[in-house]
Amino acid sequence: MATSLPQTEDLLEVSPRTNKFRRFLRVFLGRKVVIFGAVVILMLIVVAMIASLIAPYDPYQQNLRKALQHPSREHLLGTDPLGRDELSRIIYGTRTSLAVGIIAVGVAAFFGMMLGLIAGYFGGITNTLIMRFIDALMAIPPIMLALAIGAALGGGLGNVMISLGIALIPTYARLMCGQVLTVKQADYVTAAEVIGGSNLRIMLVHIFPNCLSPLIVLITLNLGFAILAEAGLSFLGLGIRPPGAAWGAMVNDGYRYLLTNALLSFAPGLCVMLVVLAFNIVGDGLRDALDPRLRGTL
Amino acid sequence: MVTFIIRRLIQTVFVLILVSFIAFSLLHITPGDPVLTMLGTEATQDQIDTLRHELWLDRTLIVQYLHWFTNVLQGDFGKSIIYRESVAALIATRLPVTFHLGLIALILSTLISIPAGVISAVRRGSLLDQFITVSANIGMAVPLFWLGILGIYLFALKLGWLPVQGYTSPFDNFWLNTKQVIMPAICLAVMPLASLARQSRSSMLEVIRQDYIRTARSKGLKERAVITGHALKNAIIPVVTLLGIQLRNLVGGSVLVETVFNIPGMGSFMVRAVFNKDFLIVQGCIMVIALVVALANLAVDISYGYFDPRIRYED
Amino acid sequence: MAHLLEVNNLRTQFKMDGPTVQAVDGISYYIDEGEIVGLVGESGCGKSVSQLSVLQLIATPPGKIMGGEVIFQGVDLLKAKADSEQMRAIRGGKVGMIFQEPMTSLNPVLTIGQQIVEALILHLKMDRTAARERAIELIKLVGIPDASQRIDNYPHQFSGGMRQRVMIAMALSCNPKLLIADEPTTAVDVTTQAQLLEILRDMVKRFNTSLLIVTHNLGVVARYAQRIYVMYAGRIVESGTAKDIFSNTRHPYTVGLLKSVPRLDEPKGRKLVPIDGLPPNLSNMPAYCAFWPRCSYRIDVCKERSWPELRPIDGQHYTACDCDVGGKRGMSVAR
Repeated sequence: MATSLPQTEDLLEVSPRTNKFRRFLRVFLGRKVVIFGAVVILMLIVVAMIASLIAPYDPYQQNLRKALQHPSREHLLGTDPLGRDELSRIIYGTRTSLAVGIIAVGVAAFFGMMLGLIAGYFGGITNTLIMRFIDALMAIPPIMLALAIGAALGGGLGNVMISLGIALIPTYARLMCGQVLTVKQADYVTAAEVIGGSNLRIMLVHIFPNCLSPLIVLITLNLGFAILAEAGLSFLGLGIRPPGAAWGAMVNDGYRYLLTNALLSFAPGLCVMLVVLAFNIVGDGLRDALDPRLRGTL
Repeated sequence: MVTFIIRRLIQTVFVLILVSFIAFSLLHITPGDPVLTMLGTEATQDQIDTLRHELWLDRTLIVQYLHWFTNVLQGDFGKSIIYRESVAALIATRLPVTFHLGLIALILSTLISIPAGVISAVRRGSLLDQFITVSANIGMAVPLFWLGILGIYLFALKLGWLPVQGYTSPFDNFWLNTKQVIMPAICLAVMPLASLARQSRSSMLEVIRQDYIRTARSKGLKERAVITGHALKNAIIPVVTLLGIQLRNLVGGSVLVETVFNIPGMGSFMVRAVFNKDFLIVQGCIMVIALVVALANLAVDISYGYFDPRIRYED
Repeated sequence: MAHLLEVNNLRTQFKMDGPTVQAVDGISYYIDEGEIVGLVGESGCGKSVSQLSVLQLIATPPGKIMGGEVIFQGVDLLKAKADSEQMRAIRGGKVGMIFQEPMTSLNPVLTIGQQIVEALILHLKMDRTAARERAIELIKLVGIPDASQRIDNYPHQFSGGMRQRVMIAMALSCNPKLLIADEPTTAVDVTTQAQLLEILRDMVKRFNTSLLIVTHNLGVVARYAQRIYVMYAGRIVESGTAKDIFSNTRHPYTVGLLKSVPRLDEPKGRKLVPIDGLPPNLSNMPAYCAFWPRCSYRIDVCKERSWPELRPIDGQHYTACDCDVGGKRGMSVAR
């Protein structure tokens, strides 16, 4: 998968690196949907960063006299059961979603790739042990695993990030292991071994860079899934503690008042969906641009 | 083929043992004293000591594990702190419910996704294809619980067609049960459906380009016979693989769906136990669910041999 | 006497994301009953595409049959739509086709029996038992031992050569009048090649089926074909009986082809002379003769006029070159 035949463009005088990058951009930005998705993600990041600047109210400030108001000019999305401004809470919710997504995926990618790299490179018993452990992690549905571990560690936000990360490790480990096994056969690895490179060096310098494409796609797709999972977990009550703002928790808060203030549950859920959709679309776009051969597998 | 099955069985057993390590460790990764966590701050020293002794927490780790594990093998998951009943018995009443829901969701998702994916591939670029692709993409992004709440809002509160929550046994009142189960099953089915549809579409597109499809057409077969008799039989193979993976999501989703619709299944049970710090229930749930998922995956792997004769005749 | 198959001025093009490729640029040929005809040319010259066009098996975006006639048993097939009842009856029923890649041309999840029986039920309206019997017969006929066992085997349980035999059995199953073999021996080893070709010739004689062999291998056509068409860049550049082509070569391209093939009866020291240059870019064809850049007989006049039409030499021998490419191979130079 990683070793590819030279492209005709590569044989031209144009420097291959810029040419590949231009081709990548052309395919990636070729579809309008992908551009739309990328814009949404950028907006998400920007909103999360300047949340304190654009939120009209303090998202944590309760005001029971103003509880459960319908959308008005003062409160564009109304107020929640504790009188807090819904819009501000949604804006601050971007931070929670993004933070959990990034850290969970970061943890998963780091440990997953390491495990996969070791398992694939050393093979034999190491491989069996590690991959069976990965199988064990996969035997438990990710949300349940995150739930169980997160709760066991104490339900706070940090713990949710870690437990979600642990639940996501298997995908990275498997991908990495598969990639390593394929790349390991390549001649340039044998060459490096013959020269006498240490194992670590071979792994990091030679094998790893060739596994990057599918990894990038996977990370993007996983970010979407992690945000979805985080919303589910906060809906159940795990994760950020009140008065912290998390979209899933907000849906739960509004659940009891569905008949009167349906918007309280709808709005945050819609945000989750849009963000996850954006990540999925961008992930697909990345995959098509980086390596369409991955189409069947990722 | 037989060696394949035996090898997978051994693997499954090994994996389940590893899962038991994970489940067992839950009790011990809690910061602080697990017994205190379980009993709460009001507990008396006596209660703490009794529970600690009951759970063998006063022995070494290995002894504890072996004791717990041998019990598990005999079907004894211990006694719930909160409910004061055998965990195994409690699980036994809830498992069929989750199973029922999961089965309906599974059937729904496979029945709809595969034809949708195939049609989408065969009529590539058409309006129908675009509609299906977009729907599948949205389906993969929709939060289950949100969809459930939307459904409740629309069909239960506004239109009054379906009950808001609850679950009665199908043996007691089949019609009511059906009405109760429709929305949760659909919510559960959405993500696997979307995922399977996408996979069906892409493997169909891949298969249609193959040489043997050209051969089939050169024999003068009707296009429909080519698609169903030749293409589909090949395209379905990666879909079956994906089905194995989606089974996990199907089971996992029950945690959310059962909470939203207040259905007394394994999912909601586990959630409540987590918040009650009733670790024994959580451990039991994990073991049982891992067992179910592992067996389901084994079944999928074996069925693989039916779909792909190259696996069947590996010799 | 009417020909079994008469193709007139067939044109097929492919529209890729940018350029349009004229894969088949107006070829005409015919095949009579019981004949073995060879269609020779290098990779990319359009020979496979032309045959797929005859059966309308071209993927219609990006391909398109732009014009021409394909008259089979008196009826112009191109008038019928690709997925019409008429075309489907022809495919497999009246015209059988064998493809180049035996490893991928058979459906891996169906037994070979199922794949053969399928066509029998469809075209000959046999019932399952009769069809199975006939399939076993056919498998035996193409030289696969243990036919009644192996009929229930899957393609991956056969070697490449065996699979190709299965393809032959499949293509011949409904007694077609014409068998098109598209590079039937390219993907197998030399011994198997010989076996397959013998089987093909044997079948042809037995059932009085006409055979069109599409290949780039001159050795194959020399031995088996009665008449030969030579294709280059989407057009036929020379045609005639095997004797005409081999002992009285009249087109520079054919000369080049013959020169580049080693023969046992030549002095050992003779160098293999490849044809200079690369095949032309089919999306950017000049108006003049497409072989011009590689032709060792060329004169300046060749570049000023359009690609020559086929002109008769004698009898059935035609060439698309106006230069005097001498009678003996590789010896004359145009004046």
